Amino acid sequence: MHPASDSAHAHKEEQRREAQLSGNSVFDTEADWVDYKAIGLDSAEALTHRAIEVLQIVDLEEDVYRLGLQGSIDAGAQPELAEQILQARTALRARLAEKDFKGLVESFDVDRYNSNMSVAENLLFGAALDPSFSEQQLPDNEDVLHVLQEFGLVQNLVDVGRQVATLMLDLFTGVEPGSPLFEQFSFISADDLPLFRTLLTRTEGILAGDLSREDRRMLLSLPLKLVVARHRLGLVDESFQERLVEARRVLTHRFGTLRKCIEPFDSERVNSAVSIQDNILFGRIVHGRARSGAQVGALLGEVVNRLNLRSALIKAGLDYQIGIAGSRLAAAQRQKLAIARAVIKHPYILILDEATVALDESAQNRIRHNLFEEFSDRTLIWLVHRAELAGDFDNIIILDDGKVAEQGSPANLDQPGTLFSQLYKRA
Amino acid sequence: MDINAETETLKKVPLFVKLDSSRLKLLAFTSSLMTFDDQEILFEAGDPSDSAYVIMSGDLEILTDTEQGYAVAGVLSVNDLVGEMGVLTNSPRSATIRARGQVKALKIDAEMFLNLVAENPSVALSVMCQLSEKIARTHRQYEATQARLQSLLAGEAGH
Repeated sequence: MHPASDSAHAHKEEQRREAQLSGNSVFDTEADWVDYKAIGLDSAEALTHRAIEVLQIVDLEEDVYRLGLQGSIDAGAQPELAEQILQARTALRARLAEKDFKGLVESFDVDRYNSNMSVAENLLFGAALDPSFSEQQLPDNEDVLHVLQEFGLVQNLVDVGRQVATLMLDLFTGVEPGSPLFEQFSFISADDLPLFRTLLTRTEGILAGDLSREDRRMLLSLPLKLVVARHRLGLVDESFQERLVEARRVLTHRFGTLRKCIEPFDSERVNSAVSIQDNILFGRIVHGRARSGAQVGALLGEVVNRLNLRSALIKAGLDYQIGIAGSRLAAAQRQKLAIARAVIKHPYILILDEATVALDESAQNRIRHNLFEEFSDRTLIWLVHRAELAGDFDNIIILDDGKVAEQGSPANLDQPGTLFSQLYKRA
Repeated sequence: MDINAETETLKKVPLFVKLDSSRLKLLAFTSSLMTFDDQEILFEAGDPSDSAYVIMSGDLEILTDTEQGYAVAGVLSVNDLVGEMGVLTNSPRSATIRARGQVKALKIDAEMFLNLVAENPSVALSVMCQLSEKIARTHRQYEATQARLQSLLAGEAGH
């Protein structure tokens, strides 16, 4: 036996003994506890396949696909998928070069400044693998500052930081501290505005090299957030952009290739540290074009379908962490997921009590239609408060004051004088 | 075009004339500068009114849907404000707006626009005046139409 699995085995055995002595369950918590047979399946793979079918039934497939686009892949563990994503990147690029779609995405190009990315993103040109290279910690990262210094950029950035701070003070001083404008637009929080005001007076005329570490960090944090195309402040001009690109080359080489603190964007490779969408787009959707997001989304969907990538993306979406009690999902998505959870258990009888109230009418109708099909040989009991929703069922029971008031097929009940017809009319 | 140039343009919009510079700058900063190609639709009649636009450069056509297709009912140009009535009354777009040539326009989010009106009496007053004018104009048109209708009916009765 392999020594590693030997010690793993010993560890499990010890856990089991401890559980026994403390009176807890001795079953293995990490085992596969799904009873595949009970739901008419034979493997985990079949369950995934079935899960995708059920997502379609409850009208949630598109949402999970989108979550999948925001997910990531481990290129080393899934080389085939990585290869397909690269194909999708090439196919999408060809579509984006067509006349109707030109200019919707600004591609990642190691030799060019991307005006739809922030200054920090432009410098890193990839994903931070080491947290000290994250956008937030960048102003404190001595290694990065050293490179910026080589290009004389620290003084520039501090100067721009001062200008941004002055502008933010000008714009947001009169705004209510609780206003959503702060979160949406300000580079400085309401609480920090006074700090920056004193900082500006205190450090006036002081060169970047003579600033305290904290003052320098505060001033540098502002320009790093600037997105040229979005903020339109005119503070990052072309020569500044060129020097940022030069610094990027050194950073990419030193901390991407040599030290693996950054995983840089590479047109020939999949980047496991950014989303699948970023990998396929290999660029940013531009600011300032109406419907650019929708158009790019449609092109992306077309390419994904053409290359049969959709189910792989939905699988990636199935790994999305939905938060405690689904808090990271919208109310409608939570409701759809709750129905999916019931449907996948393949019950003989499914009872839904106002289970679709959070959904819009067309989604409700789609789901009802799909469930009718799914439950054609089983029983579906649906509690509704609007009589016109009951018309498609075989049997209707009308409850009044806790008692069965009427019962029968829609044809039987839809007669003059019945409670059902009265309720129907009222609706 | 940067935020200062945008602020200068906003100053020329009649509705914003009395606003101070930093307020206008905030308005520009929280808005998006959109580019539209020739013939591109900004919004269609019946769309929800989620924003107002100020034209920075180029012309926009107001289209009305007739039985023979779209007809151009008017043209808007630089410094004009578009789509603010739908935002103020929280009603769908009343007409379709299309770009004539390339157009740059500042898109002001509906919530931002309403805040601006709520917080600034001068803007609110200006909006009231414009609305009153519009009502007066519509009323005059209505009376003219009524008169015309009456004379037509009278003519028919005479036959």
